[in-house]
Amino acid sequence: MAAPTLEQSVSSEEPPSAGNGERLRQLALRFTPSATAILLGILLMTLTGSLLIVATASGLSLPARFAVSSGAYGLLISGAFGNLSYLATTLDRLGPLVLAAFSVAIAYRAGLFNIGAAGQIAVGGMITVILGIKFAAAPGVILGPLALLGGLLGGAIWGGIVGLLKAWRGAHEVVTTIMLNFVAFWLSTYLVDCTRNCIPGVGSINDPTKSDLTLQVGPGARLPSLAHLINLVFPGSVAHEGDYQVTIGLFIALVGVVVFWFLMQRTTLGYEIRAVGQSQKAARYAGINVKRNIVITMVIAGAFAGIAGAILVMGPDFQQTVNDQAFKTLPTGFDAISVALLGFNGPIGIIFSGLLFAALNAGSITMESASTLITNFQVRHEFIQFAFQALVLFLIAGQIIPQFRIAVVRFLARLMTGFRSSLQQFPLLLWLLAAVDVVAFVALLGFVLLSMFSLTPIISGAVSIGIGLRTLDTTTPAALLLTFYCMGIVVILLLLGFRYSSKVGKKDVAPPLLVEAMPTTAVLAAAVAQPPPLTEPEVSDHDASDSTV
Amino acid sequence: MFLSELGKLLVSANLWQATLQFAALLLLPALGGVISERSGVVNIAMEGMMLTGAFFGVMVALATNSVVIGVLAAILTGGAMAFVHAFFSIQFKAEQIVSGIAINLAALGLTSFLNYALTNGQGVSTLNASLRIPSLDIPGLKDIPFIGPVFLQQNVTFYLAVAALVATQYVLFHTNIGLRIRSVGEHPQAADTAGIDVRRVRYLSVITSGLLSGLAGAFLSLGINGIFNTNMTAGLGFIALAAMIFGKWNPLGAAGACLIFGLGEALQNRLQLLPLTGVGIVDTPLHSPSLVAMVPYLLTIFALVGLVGRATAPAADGIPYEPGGE
Repeated sequence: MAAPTLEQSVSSEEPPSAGNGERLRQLALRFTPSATAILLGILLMTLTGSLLIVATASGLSLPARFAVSSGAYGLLISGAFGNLSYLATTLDRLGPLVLAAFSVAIAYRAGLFNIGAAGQIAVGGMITVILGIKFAAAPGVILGPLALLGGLLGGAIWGGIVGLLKAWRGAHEVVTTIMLNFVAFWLSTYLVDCTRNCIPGVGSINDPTKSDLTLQVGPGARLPSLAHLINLVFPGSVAHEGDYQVTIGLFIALVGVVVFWFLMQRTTLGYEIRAVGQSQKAARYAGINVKRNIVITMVIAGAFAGIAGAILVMGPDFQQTVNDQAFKTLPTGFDAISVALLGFNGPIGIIFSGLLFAALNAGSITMESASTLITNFQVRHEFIQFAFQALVLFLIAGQIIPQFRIAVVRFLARLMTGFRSSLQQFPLLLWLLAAVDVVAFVALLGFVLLSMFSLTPIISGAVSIGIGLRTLDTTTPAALLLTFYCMGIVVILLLLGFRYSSKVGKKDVAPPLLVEAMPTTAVLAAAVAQPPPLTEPEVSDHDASDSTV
Repeated sequence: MFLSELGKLLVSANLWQATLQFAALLLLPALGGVISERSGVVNIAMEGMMLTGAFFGVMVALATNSVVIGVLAAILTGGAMAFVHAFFSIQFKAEQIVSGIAINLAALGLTSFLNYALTNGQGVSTLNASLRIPSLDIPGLKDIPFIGPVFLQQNVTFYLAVAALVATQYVLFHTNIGLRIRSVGEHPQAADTAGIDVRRVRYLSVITSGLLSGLAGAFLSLGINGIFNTNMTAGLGFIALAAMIFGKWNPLGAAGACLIFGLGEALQNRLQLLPLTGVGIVDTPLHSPSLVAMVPYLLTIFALVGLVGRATAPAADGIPYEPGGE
């Protein structure tokens, strides 16, 4: 390691010198990169998405193409939050997404990469379906908890297998989870396809009218919708209950948030999990049973995903769809990875990033159907979902954001100190960092909002007077938009350029983004405080002893 | 009755032709995976690279009316996706698994959107025979019983895959280049000291894996199916990943695994058609295609935990190289 870099001075916990101010600074440090990452992800998506739409919307004039591309995002937002019914759909997607994200997050905290949430959801959901059909006549007080518990156990077993294989033989969890995802998928297919007596005591669970659907679960295993509950308390206050999809699954997810926080922050188990995630060797040295912790972590991770699967089944549809499309493109299991990473594997972050993805998920479907009403060009929902996910993952994977922030701050600080004194002594460094974040935040937000809404009134006007966008050939708004897009591209190029130049000539740029969410080195130091001081350097979990992918 | 039918099935040329075809389809991305991971870059993005290749192969073949250009486009776009993966994992030292997932999702979103947008929502229709990769057709030889249909009537890509297998095995274990790739994957610091450009070797290895996966995509869309459908790879890239691990990161081992998985796939489609008379039980598990489809994944897990011989990855697999580190 060379001389301490700016990142280290920024991310290391300095002794509190300014009381409340220090706490505020720590908070700002912790959460602004996440917010900036989300916004930059949105910006990137808006840009690439728009350009793709502009390039491919055949049959429209160029200004109309720009109008469609920007109007699409207006529709995306209004489709997610536009009215209470849309909002209810968004919130309905939120619950399972957040729970599944916890499954990824808890594993990540222990240094394990759980990309098997999809499989754990499938198994948990299938057990919930089987229980819900077998005991269809049971009252809700018994069947509801039973079905939830079944889902939890199913997921826990599926996750536990991964943990056992890892602890027992060092089988890399990434490979085993991928494989178990497919096993879960084919197992579900087998159970659904099976029209004979495949499950002893239950019989066929196949819906005779559609081959890839299970039967609906009994009424006792159906989560009541919030609208229904409100009507029970205040009769007649919600007119059309069926319009509001959100169920009490949302509250189950909120309980999950508290459980996750308590487990990670307030229990010995959570402490041990975090210690194992920091360094297996150090944890072992401190007397923590690493193998046991790996198994327990994966069991808990699977349990979170299993409950998500149960809620998905007990939610608005009351049945499980098992086909290629539903599994491989089923957003929950794979979205969960982005949600967890984007939320910094912490409870609060995950709620926010989960909300973002739930809104995208719900809004993109409205966008797809609404866009065909406006023009003959349909903006496909898959595109938004996957393009956004991929971009966010790349942002996280490339750790572009923190590098960029630091490059800017370093430059500004140098500017302010006249390129003379050492940056370590510069007193305003942290505040400068926060200021840069705020400026970036506001600028990006402004950019996104402006480009989204600049043409929406025109589109809605066109719809209301019944003309398609083909006839819309006004050049002024298009020119305005074009300017915005060009500006955006310049910003992106600058970002990448800064990022790159900050790397050149510096060999030890510590990428702190994912690390920031992890417990700090202080935890580790405490963990090894009692035995003689640790002489070995910290090792990553890609130990030579582990068999990796 | 059942057993005799099963026996007939097992010696039928049709079964083995399908087996070899599926095995070759898996072999190309599996070889790519072997090369990439031997150089120390985890690659779970073969699925996305295949899908991209499959899509652009069809689109370019349609646009240029030439199957050769279509295949080239498939190979190059697969390579381009691999370059993105390499750029993020080598240049930015990104988490390679996250980058791989991102590539897969990006490919799925991009191809399904473009497939919709470029065809006005119609999707492409089945390609004419002239736009498909032809099968080998040698008069006389193709009529040899069994051998003819199984080995000499395959799609041209099959022979390319076999050539790729031989080439990969030879290059990896009998040439300087192969030694460099393996040393970079096992101990990059030592390789660097010996004057090997670690990053360059890794870049080229990852891109090679993309080229091979892109070719496999063309094999699927332009060769076997003659059409592009949304998400048409449907997990093939992951079976290839499984084959690579099951084959213990060896080209020949991967080929063996591909043969086993290919046989499983071919059997799976044919077993359900067998009559069940003469068997005591009505429901044999063999009769359920879903349970047979599970086998490759289960075998891979067994291989990982050492029940079928221990599979161990290259030592530096997945670890970004830090010059002067450790």
